[in-house]
Amino acid sequence: MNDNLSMNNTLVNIKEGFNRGNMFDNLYSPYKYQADVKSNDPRSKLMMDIQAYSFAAHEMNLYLDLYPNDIQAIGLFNQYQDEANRLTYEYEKEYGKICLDINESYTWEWINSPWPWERM
Amino acid sequence: MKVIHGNGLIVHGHGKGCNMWKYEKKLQFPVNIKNKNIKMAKYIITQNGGANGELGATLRYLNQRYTMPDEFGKAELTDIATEEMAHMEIISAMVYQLLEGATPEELEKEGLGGQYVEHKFAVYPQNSVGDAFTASYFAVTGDPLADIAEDMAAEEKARATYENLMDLTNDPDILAPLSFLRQREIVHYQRFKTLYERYKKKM
Repeated sequence: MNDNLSMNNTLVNIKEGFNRGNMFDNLYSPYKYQADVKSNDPRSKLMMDIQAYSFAAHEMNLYLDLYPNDIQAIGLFNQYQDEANRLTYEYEKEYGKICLDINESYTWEWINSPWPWERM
Repeated sequence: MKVIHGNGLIVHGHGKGCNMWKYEKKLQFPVNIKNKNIKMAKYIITQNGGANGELGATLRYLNQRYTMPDEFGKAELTDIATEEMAHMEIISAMVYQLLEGATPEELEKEGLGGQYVEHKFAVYPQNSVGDAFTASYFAVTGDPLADIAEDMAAEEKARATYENLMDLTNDPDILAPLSFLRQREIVHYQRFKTLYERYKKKM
């Protein structure tokens, strides 16, 4: 397959795509409400940035499953995922584990609240 | 990075690892609902355990994927199913927060007396009228065209349900995640449609 992302798709920026729930401008179909999530709290702000970059990478993931030779989309996946990883590392240093990979302190950090369903 | 190793020595670790289905301690989209709303909790729970809900979606795709005819189908169903699990978590977080601080009397008054008797304030997979989740909400036929056509319809039905839920509230804390989840149905529909068209040509 010789599909190319730029031939049939226009991507929106990370923040806009996250608020929409859709990185692909040509697929976007709004209903009634446009979200604009933000926070003044540095912890939830950093969490939202991680969520936004992870989301953008996931969008490329679902697209690439069908168009695995699209080199431009692969580049964007790597770029978004790398930024999500970097922000996750920053968050974990400050606030505790998101991914259970390695435990660096003398207590088991994984159990610490808040859990995702609790308000931040 | 220095970590404590099995024998108690502090050694260098290798960081990131992949195993099984790995939980990440984060929602796909934030849920921070300030105002309790028992009625909306009663309605929104259907997107966890109702006929068009996220639990049915994840199980539908996870079970259909084994008999997909090529790598496109196997990959897409696996990855969308995984995302649906994250959606179920968003819906459950919404229900949990919407009921937080409510009393049994308030639940009873708002039509959730049955919920209180069976589940107190717990999140249980059911629809908005209290019917428990059932696997008969989805089909797994083993026929890729029939399965992917069902998936397209499932995404459209879930989109319509999200719109119905959005019609019943003005609270932006509730509308934001509902609007995000609704839009995901549109993107998933498009991915399934592409798969369907490819399989239609091949078979």
